[in-house]
Amino acid sequence: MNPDFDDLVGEEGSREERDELRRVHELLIASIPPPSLNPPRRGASHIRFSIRRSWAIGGVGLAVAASVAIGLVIGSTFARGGFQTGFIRPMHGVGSATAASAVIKVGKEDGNGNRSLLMSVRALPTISKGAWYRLYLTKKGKPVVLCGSFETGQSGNAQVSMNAPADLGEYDGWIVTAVAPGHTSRVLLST
Amino acid sequence: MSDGELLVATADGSREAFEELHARYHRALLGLAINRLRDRGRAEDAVQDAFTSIWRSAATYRPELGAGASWVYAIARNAIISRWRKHPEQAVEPADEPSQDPGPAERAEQSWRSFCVHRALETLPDHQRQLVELAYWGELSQSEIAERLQLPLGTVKTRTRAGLKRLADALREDMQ
Repeated sequence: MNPDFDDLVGEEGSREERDELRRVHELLIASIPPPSLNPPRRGASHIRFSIRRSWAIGGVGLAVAASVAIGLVIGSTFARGGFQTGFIRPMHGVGSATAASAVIKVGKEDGNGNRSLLMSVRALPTISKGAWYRLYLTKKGKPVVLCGSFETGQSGNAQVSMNAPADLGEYDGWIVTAVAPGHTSRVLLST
Repeated sequence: MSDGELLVATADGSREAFEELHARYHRALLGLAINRLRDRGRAEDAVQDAFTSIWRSAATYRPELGAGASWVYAIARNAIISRWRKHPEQAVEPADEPSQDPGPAERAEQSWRSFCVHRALETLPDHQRQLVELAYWGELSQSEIAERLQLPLGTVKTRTRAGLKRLADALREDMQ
């Protein structure tokens, strides 16, 4: 049922103004509905347990297992049909990775003290077998909270789901590092 | 700032400009992606791809070649098509009757038109946008909207008209 133009705009206004409003009216009728930005959420309670444990350890100890679980397993099971975008943060390549870039889509607080992240990376430099990338929240430039670990294909591109604590106010940025056994980690991307 | 100015600033590395582009275009791109991919999760991924491309490629935007909206649309369309190619819709048996579905040209036109409308909707204040959306896609009369939102009918009409006027201003350039 399409709305009636005269019912919507009344009979006021000049002919030119009404003609312009009528064109908009016809455009709206011909347009598909805009998407809802607040789709139903799924799976939040399942995620909470794993995530809280992962950042409580601050990037050490269980980091590999937990972060791989977050970045690759749990992340992928967090249906993005429930993703509610809060804001977006771009990242640029640094050091030897100036051609790399990334965008982090940060979800809204989920009520359990978490935020989901959807990160796309492009052109990350190749790393050796057994090495991986990590996304950290930083404070004064230093990594303090591990959000997850991930791998890329040969292209250096990937799209991964991870998680972060809801209260991001106490952190001042994000970095992606490359971590290889027996080597010092190096920063590849930064906000 | 215009969309084109935001793209130029993004090319210079301005995070704020990029985030403003995201605020302006996120919903329009999501609508475009859902319409094509028919799957919200894949659509979210495609929109993410699109914004990653915008961040990486903003330096290729040339203001003299067209408005920022057209450039963003082209980037998004490519991202959506790439997603679609990974899992194209399954082929179905051809129907005996001629299809009433829009052809490629009509579909492209509708896609662009909807993109512009959704983008323009983001320029409305919330109290106007809500009324316009309920009027056109909520299948509610003005009286029903007034009742649902507990607003005087006159307020609903005034705000809806003001919203349409504002949309006209926002769409003027795109629709010429």
